[in-house]
Amino acid sequence: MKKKSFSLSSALPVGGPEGARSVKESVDYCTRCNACVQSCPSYLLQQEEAYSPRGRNQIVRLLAERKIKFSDNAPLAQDVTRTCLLCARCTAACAGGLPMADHVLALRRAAGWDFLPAPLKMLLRLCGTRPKMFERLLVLLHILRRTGAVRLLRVCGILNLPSLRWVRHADDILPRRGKTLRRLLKKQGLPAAPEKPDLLYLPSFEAQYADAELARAVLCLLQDKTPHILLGTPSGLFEYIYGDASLSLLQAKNILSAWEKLGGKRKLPLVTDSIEIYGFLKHFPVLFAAYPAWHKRALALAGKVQFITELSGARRTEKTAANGFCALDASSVLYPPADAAEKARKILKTHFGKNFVECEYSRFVTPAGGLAFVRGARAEEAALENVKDVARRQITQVYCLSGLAALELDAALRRHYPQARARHIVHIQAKP
Amino acid sequence: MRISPRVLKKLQRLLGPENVLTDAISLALNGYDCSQSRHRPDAVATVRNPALLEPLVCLLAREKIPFVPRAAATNHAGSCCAVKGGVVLNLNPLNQIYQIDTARGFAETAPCAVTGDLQAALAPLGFFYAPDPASEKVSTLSGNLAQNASGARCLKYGNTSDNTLSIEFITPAGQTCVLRHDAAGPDWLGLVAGSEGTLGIIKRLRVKILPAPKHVKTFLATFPSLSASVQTVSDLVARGLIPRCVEAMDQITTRAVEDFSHAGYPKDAQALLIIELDGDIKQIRQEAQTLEELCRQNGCDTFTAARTEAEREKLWRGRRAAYSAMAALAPNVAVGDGTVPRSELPAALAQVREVIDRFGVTASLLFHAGDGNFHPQIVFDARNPDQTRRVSQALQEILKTCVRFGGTVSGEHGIGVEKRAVMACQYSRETLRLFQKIKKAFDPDNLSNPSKIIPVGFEEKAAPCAETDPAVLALAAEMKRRYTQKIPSVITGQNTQLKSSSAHLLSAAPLQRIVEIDKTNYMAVAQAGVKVQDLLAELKAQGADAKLPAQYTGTLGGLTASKAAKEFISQITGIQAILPNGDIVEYGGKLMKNAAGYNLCRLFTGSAGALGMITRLTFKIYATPQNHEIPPQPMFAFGPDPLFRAVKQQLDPDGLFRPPVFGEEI
Repeated sequence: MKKKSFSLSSALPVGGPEGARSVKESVDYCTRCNACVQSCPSYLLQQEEAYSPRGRNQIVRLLAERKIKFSDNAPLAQDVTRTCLLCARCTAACAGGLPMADHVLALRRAAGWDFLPAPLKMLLRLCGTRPKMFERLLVLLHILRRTGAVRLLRVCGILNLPSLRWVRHADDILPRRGKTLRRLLKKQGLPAAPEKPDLLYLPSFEAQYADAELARAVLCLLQDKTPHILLGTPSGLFEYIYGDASLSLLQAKNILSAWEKLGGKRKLPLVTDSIEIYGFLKHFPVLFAAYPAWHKRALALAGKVQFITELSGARRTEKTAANGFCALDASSVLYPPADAAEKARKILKTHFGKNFVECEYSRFVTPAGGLAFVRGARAEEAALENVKDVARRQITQVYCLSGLAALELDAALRRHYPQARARHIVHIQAKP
Repeated sequence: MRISPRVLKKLQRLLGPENVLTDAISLALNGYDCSQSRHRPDAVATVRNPALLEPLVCLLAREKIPFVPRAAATNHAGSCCAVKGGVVLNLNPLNQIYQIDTARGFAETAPCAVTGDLQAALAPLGFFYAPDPASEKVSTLSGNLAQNASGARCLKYGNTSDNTLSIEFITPAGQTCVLRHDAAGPDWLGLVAGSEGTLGIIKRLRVKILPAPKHVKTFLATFPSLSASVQTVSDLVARGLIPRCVEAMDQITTRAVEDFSHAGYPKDAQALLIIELDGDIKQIRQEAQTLEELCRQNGCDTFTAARTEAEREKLWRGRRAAYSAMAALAPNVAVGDGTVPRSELPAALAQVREVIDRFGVTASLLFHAGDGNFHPQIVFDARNPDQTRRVSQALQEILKTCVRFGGTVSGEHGIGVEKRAVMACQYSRETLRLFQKIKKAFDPDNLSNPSKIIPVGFEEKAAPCAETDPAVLALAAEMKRRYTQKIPSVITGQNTQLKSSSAHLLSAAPLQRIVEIDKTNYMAVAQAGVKVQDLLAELKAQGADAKLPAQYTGTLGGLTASKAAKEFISQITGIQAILPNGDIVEYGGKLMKNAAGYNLCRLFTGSAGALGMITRLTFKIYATPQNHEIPPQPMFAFGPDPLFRAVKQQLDPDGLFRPPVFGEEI
């Protein structure tokens, strides 16, 4: 395959308070005041300028001005590009509100897949072009890793294959096509697609975990309505974050067509339980910047996207006092939507009254989606910090807006602070 | 300069290979700060263990490689750019808070503990750390001290130097020493504060923490003119009412900020003051009455008090959004920093506006009215060379305006490389020569953050000292004679502290003039030979007072040079002195803040005449009676430490001016 030359000039425009700008223009607006630095989880881990939002901005600027070359500085440039969590905390801290996550995305796209470990890069290329082969390979790799075959071969001195540690990362970032979830839902006897749906339900990005519990809870919540489940329809978020914008555009077109076909005329709401997808779909018209007709249609969809908290309020339970303190983890990747967090906060306040406290992680966002790549050595440290913050405030229940964050945090809590549990916010809304 | 592979290997062995970076990205990213300066270093060394700092500096000193300590790099002066290349020391991982002792009122931290983190750790304990630079959420304690930063609260609580108790300091030769304000001899900590890493590296700090005030009340007052608002502040200070902070904006800024943040500021006001009082509720109530009365007296248009926390937040929202409002307008914001005596503020600001208009740039103008410190924030596009040139010219012109009004080119941002050139306008040739000697004494090989603060080629650019007082000139000539003829001398005032029986006394007694008692700025200027008791009587006759010990029988200069009253030392804002070689140097003035150059006031306090003769002092006075029951302390003998010896060697290599505190009498 011919290698694409590195160029930032064709990148998508990035959003900002002053409207869309080109990436190059946007990074020029960084005044290097460093107000963002203490909000960046990857900087707090590394304490090096290159890993700070200001440093990343300057890298993009230097690359755009062709003062340095990506390939000449590969190890650091790759690491910096992939360790950004896209949590957008820096944007919140920035005086000019610069969309730094967008700058990193532009960098990832310009680098092609070069910022990923080589085997993962090959696999992801397949994901777009030959999905069937991709799925089979993934299953094979999983088996190899789980059985420890690679290690065994190496230890016995038979075959020295490269380590499969990166497949653990792949667990989080490689989308599955929803088959498992469909099977699980079928097993529990949930309805198939209705003739005339009231709304469309897009199971989350985190569906890769086949978290049928989450999907079931959402369907319980929707039981008065007839939802159409968009199973196996990727939103394009994954490609948007990790890959090619053109692939993401393809996926986004798919979802746009599906919505228009099923309920575009009736302007049906599209409900999702993933805060990341919600943020992405609100923002995704930017993908169609070059196609005015599509852009208009995308805007129509963006206006009808709903997060699950908008569906119904919470029931007040009698045992609030016994339940202990409860907190909300509003962390989200990319474009954290403030409205969804506000609604969730309201729900928890109604439910827990005075027992609701704000969940403030002093240093890191929860080990959610974007953190996939800083796993390894530093992940435990980050997770432990957050567990400490939970324990310090005597919180017994953390409700997350992101299913992935819930799973991650829950796993860490189980290990270090079993008194507390983390769950998706849907679980409090749905009837048991 | 390039670093040889052999040295790089040594560095890697010391710090670990992953902590010594030489790739293009790391070099480019460690060569800038918040200013427009960019200089690539030759290597970046990340220090993750404080114990390695000393061997690292030793290694670099041995190999004669320049180094630049770098913390959060939020300064606006280019203070941490590696102008001469060398190694940038990334100290950011040293960010621990070691200890907080509320009983004894201090916190001990590693150099790069973030100021905001310290505040957050202190808040639940009911304490706070007084300096509050605008970047406190990200800037570090050692960075603040190296720039001698201050913030809105400076008027009441002082700057970073005033709030630091002691530091562990590594000299450029790699020796560790502990510096504190109250040790015998010159105040080295005061000298190192604001030195921008040119004198060495801070390894550990002990800072003062204070109980948080129980109540804070915020007021907004608008005035029909800038001078009316400044007069109000002067009146406040004169009444002895020191607000927690006084922030001000002119009309153009108020309009820009109001359009951006909708904080509810009246757009038609010529000047706007945000005043905050703290303390217990009864005291605040009384002070608020006085405040309102004074504002009305000076013809304020509106006077509003924030009744709730939400209202208070709303009042501050605009002030805090001032930078954001400008940052959204254009890609770059150049933040200037100048200080003038408070009374000169209206005239100086008018001229600054004129400069801004003349160069055709867009700028907001914020100022800490209490300190006479103002920050023009000029927006521009660095990609446009013509605009960039105009902005830098405008900034230089603004700083020159400050100097013309008796001000300083830096109140709190430091000099770095960007303001080096204008230092030649502010200081005389002799003073700059002294700065150079201090730097040479600390750092003979010019390794620690080289090429900062002192302007290049100042011998031609700076003017010679313009002192005309015959008594001072006569004393300078006499000192020069003794210096050239190598006559050993003992400098005294009334000889009350030194009690020297030497035959070669050189007395400051001829300097008998009380130059000025300025009741608009509340500053007094007096020559060093004036007796403290005479000075107090004169002040009383004029309806003013100062923090001077009433029982002290000696002179003002003697009081300062012997560090006999510590309370008075912090009141000194300006100094004139004669060096052993007869050069007359001058530093500071009627300024509440000064971060330009090395703090000579602190060098000469406690020097016991070994470094020169103090001839004139500028210090704060008050309208209300002050406590005079300050027991004068006897003079401590101080063993000449290595720092003292090095500075003395530069100023007086033959050791002619030798006070008896060193032991033997001449």
